[in-house]
Amino acid sequence: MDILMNALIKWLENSFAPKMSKVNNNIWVVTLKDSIMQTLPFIFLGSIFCCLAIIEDFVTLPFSFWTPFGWTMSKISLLVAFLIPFNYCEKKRYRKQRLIAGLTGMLLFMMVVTPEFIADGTVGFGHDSLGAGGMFVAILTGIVTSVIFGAFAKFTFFKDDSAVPDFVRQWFDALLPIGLTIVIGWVIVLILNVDIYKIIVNLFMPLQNGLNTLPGFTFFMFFTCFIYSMGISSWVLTPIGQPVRLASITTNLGLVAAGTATASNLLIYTEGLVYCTYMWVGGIGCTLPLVIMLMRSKSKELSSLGKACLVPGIFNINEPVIFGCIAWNPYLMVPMWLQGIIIPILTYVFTKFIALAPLPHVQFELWYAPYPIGTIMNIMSQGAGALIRALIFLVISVIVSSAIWYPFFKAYETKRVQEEQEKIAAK
Amino acid sequence: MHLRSIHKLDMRKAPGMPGHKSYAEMEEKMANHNILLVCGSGASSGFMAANIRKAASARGLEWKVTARSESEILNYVEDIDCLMVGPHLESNLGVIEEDCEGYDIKVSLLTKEAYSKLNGELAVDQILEMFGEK
Repeated sequence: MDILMNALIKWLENSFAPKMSKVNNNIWVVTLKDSIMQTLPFIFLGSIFCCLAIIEDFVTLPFSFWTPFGWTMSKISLLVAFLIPFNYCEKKRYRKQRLIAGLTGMLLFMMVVTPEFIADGTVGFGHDSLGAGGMFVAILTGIVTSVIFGAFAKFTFFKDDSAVPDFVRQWFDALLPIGLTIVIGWVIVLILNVDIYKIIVNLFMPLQNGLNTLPGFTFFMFFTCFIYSMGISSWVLTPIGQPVRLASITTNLGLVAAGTATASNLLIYTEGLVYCTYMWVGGIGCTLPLVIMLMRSKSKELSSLGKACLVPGIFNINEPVIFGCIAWNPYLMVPMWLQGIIIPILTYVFTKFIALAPLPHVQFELWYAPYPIGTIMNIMSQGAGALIRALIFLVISVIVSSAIWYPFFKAYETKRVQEEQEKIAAK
Repeated sequence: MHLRSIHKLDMRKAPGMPGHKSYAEMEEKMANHNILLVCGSGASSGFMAANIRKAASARGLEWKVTARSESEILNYVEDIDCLMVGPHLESNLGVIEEDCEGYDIKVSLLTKEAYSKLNGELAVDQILEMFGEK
């Protein structure tokens, strides 16, 4: 058994980890990931406004918190549309172009979503496409803009010794990429009436649908735990996961607003559900039970590790415990993988097949908030009965998770205690 | 002569004795570093930063330590002289080092030992070694 594990780990170390390294250093992965992550403050702020909006279910106010929610959470695709070309130029060291690239990207995005606006007919800036719904579109327009600006970054109309003043040269050299981008958007979307927005949404629909099915959801959660168990940050999956999560919650909020939300039509794969309501108590892989086991351990090393990991763990930050005892440790990697398989399946079954645990009707995504605050914030709009069921399921989930950790933890603890005793005996 | 540096002198190491350092050398060695710690979202590195600040100030070091998401590195490259990266970002090191190109910044991964217990002392030791100030 040990030999098998060691062989597996050697293989992972030598072939998988370097491939992840390639992925992690790819400029598009980095650009997309950074651009999405730079909007996190707006997402967190939006979550706070969403919480405050819950008050309106009980008290009538002369304004609504859904308005500032709309101006933060519901504008992130617009922000990402700026950030992708901006960050791309930064990474490629085309620093001079970064601002106009970002601005042009934003304009191209708005052109692409124009048909949606017109179809909607509502006054003002409140369309899903600017917020969570349009993330895939923002990514596409961002990439297109980046490629155009990247291609022109080295090009100039003028010779070095030209008599034309520098600032004029700069304008002209900027006109070409901006112009090309805008004209492309103009011709394709507004003249040829190709609804790019719909095309992109449909293109990514299989991905979005897939990650919300039982096998798709479970696989993605398992993969996250899998790479994390190798000490590789799962933020690399952001360009895939985040747009899907955001599209899911947008769909869900639409169903809730229309009054037609049910356990079977609500989508499961949302940030709020996975990181705040159920599942990952203490961080990805539900590590808080493990931290508590560590704290109470007979092994001196493990108990001091557990104590150091407790405070971050309460805030769902678990890099310390991952690096302290899980990463590349066969004893604890296996239960981590099991967490990635069993907990998602458990959650899927008990939210959608057996409607015990309610799915969130609001968008609270402050994953730093200790459990069960996130659970309460996400479910309380559905009433006390729903909240009680949610908390009951949360407890069940934590018990199952602990039962997975326990035997492996015990085996590991025995090994560590033995090593410690041998060290003392050798002295 | 700064009063601040007097308490760091080992008064037994008088001029001419082995291990003697002039006041100027002492000043130079205890540089005020501006350190950025990065992890995925700035959360775990935030805990680490707090512990490094504690450990550094206990040793009388006047360091500036900030923790951020690695997506924000380019906002800080002009200010910092040291970039410490969370070990789970090891496979991102290539792009991170590229971000720092052209700037006088020492880049390194925080060790797993230091990160797992959020051990500020170990991290301070690592940084001092990087700058040859141990």
